[in-house]
Amino acid sequence: MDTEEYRKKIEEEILKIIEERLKSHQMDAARAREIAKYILNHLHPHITLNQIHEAVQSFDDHFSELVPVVFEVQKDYDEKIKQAVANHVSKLLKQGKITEASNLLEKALNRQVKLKE
Amino acid sequence: MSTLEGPSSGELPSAPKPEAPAPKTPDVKSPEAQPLGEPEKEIVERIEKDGDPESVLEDIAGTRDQEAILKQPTNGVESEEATKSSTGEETIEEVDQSKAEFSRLNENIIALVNIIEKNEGDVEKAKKILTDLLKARESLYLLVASAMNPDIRPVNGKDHIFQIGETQIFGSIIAVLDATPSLASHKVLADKMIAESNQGENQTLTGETLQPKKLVESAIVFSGSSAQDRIQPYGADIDMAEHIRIEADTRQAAAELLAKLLQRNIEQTIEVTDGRGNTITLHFTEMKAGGNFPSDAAETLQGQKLRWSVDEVKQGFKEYQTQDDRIARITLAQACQDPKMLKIDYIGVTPETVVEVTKVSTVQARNGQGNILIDNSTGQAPAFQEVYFGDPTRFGLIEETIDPDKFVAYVEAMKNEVQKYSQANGHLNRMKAAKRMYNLLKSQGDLALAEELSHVFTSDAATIYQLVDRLGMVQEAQKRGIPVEIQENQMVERLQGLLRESSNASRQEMLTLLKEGRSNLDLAEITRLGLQISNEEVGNFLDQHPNIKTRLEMLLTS
Repeated sequence: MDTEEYRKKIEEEILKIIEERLKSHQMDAARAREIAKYILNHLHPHITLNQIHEAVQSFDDHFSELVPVVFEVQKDYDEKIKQAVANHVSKLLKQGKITEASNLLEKALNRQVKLKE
Repeated sequence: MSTLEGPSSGELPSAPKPEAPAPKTPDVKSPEAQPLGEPEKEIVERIEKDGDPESVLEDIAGTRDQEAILKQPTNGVESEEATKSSTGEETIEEVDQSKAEFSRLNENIIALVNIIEKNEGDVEKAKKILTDLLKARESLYLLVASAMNPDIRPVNGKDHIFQIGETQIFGSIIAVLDATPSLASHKVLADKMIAESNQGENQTLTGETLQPKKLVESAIVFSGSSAQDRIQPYGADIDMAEHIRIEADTRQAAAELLAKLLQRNIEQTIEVTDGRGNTITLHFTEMKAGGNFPSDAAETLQGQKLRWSVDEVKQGFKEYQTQDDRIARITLAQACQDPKMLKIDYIGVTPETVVEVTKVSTVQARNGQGNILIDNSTGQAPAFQEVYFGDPTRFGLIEETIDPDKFVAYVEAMKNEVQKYSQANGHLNRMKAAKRMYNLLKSQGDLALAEELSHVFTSDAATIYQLVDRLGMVQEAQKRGIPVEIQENQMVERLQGLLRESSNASRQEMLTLLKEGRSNLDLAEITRLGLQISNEEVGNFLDQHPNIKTRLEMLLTS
């Protein structure tokens, strides 16, 4: 799945949340509109995965309803980081660069690593 | 005899809408089964219609380019946006211009109200302009209001009066905005409650022949939350208002006629049944008339209101103890010479619920020259909140909504009540403040914000608040020996169901109290908690609706 498809998948998940909450009367139209405007203002077309990740992290600061989406995106991002780090650490170890591999792992654990795009 | 026209029969509501009982009770449903509001329904439909999620979000946000929408393939059917935006031959651009004009009119109306309230500059000129603007605003108000309530339509040949669908429900544009055709079923109740007289006949009272040409006209209306069933399905009580006009030669004669009217119409129990067999039984609790006890009344009675029982009304007098230990009498006719607040309270019992029913009567008596003999009106304009079961023009009530003094008084009254119920000094009642704010926003023409605010009236908090209020009526009924155990059980069960849906501390505390047994209900504590829950949840609602919160803060600091 490319980044654009991922961005749209996030938007679809948000629409599902809006629909469920409207139907169960946990949300009204005004709130739905607020959320829609916020998403459109922060999830622009053709942004990078890092930018998607950064934008989504702010969602639950304003809309607690979107916590499930924030959680999922964080999980996806962490998984991607884990895979990328694992691959890179493996290469470093094969090259005998123990210190660099160790440093990279530490940075990954402290969330100081971003995906290279 | 009422001179109102209208269908002679109607139907009662199957149960007073306020309560939201268990699913099998037809009138009230669980939150999931409740119909969605129109704006919410539109959004759900848009999401379900599918399509590119970004476009769906743009449609929800309302940022979608109008031209792009119109260009969408629609299979020969007008697009949703175009349909919403067009009325007859109007283009979207014209509708946008109308909305801009409506906003400008409302801004000018608010500015003029402020000038008149503060008595700044040429107030008389300001009032004249305000009258013109209120009249000019009506057609635009109708345009916007019709989108919220498609049942509203103007009445041909009658200015300032609007009707709900094909029903005989009428009112000002501001009042009918929140009325639905379901209110027509209340006419049966109104017909039973109206004060009726033998018009045009010579009447004999205590052996005397009264002067001829005594004329009584009356109209009974629904007011308050009872008249706002579109946005307040969970109103706590049924409020009726009655307008009585009397023509008599003297004040005494008018008062005697009014007393006779009351005697004729008061009953300990009134049973009302609609065409479907739904019943509501009204049990009289008290009537207030004549203000406070006379000045010669005993110290313990000083400052207390004159409260009349059915027997006292029927016999035409009330006895009381004087300061020198005698028993004195005040007749009903004497009290009616200056009736002050003329109000009758009932406990209404249906198979499902117990509800407070009140009727407040405004009396105006004049002689043949038009001079006022009796007038207990408060000066406020009820037409902003009343719906009529017949043409109200005969009473001139609708004109109040374009009368600048009445309009300013109404706006000021609503602002004061918002402030009163928003203060944390014992009066804090955020739900009441929200209701007053809603009425204020409607009068100011800010219908978008009013509509947004209206969602709080369908919240769990509103239902809990109403159910607790009704438990109070249950206790009042029980004190009078009226059997209401079945209704009490249903309401308590419904309340427990709602309370269990949240782990909020106040709700859990109330749940504990309700578990202690029906006969031991600590109503004072339950009422306190009900108010606390309502205040908390309305507070949460405000936090989630920053525009409303900002406007409220502006009101409170103005």
